[in-house]
Amino acid sequence: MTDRENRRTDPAEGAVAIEYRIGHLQERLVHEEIAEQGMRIEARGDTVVVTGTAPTTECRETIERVVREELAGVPVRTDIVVADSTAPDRSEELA
Amino acid sequence: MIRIAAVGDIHMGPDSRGVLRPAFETLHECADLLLLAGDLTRHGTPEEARVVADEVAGLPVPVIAVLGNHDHQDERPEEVTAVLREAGVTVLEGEGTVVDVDGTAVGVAGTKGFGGGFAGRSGSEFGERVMKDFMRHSRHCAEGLRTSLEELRDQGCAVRVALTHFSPVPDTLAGEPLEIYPFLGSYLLAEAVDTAGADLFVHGHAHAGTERGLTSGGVRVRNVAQPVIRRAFAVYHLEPGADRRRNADALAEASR
Repeated sequence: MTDRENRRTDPAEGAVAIEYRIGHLQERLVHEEIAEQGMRIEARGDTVVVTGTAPTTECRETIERVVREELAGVPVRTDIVVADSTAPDRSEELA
Repeated sequence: MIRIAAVGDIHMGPDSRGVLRPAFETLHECADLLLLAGDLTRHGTPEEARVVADEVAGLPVPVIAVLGNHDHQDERPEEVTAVLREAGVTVLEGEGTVVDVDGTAVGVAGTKGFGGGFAGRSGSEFGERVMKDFMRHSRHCAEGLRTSLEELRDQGCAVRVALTHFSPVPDTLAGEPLEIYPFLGSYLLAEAVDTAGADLFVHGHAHAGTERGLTSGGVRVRNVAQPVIRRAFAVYHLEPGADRRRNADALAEASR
């Protein structure tokens, strides 16, 4: 086992690594073709949870692919909805 | 009654062509004008702007827009603006426009706005040049909003609406992480609208925020980011002169 692998098995060091990987994921989502800034990415225990609204199904698939690539080896849960583009069925009276 | 449709953060790209058009084609049944509260594109390219332009071209109601930070990403906001204007969209930055709705003058004042944070927890024009530039940009946007609302008042508009991308109040950011509030809006926008007066403040930008808020001066604020309103657009009904009546009521209350 190398020193690098040793560091990763240390629980305290592992937590820090996930924090930085979330930061790198956020940067990558902004700079990928979808320019996504609206995802909430949080570590919950040893799992990372990604939630938010994507403009289209294609964008959601891209986000999920980038998340999988960037957080390879980390348990990930995603709950990303696609924006609703139906006309409203009500209005708000502001008078 | 004036019916205002509004949506922001539609983040259109080639794969979203035509997604909003069916809903927009119902606008003549429920609204007198459509406001677009910025982040219309993903990277601010003219190609993405053309998708937005096609989505709103030839609609039966006037379309008025401000740009958002995403529409600046490619550093070609003038080209994005030009593409939208070619499609008949009125794009505002530090200026106002007047729409005649059945004889009632409806004024819309628009600016992208910017961040900086909220009263007591705000950045200042102090220190490094980039920090001064950041806060000056926010102040410049807010001043443009105030002066254009005042001009609309002087032009006799019966209804005035402020349209921005960034938020004027923390109310509509509830649900966003507190740590990023200074990147989501500025109290300078609220101060501008409370100084000049308005009937409604419409903004976007905060995808995880909430729809409803209020400035200290009593102006209703609505966050119309599409992930927040969860439909193609929201519709708000306003009675002409309600802003003046509220101000008169507030003065009467204060003088008791």
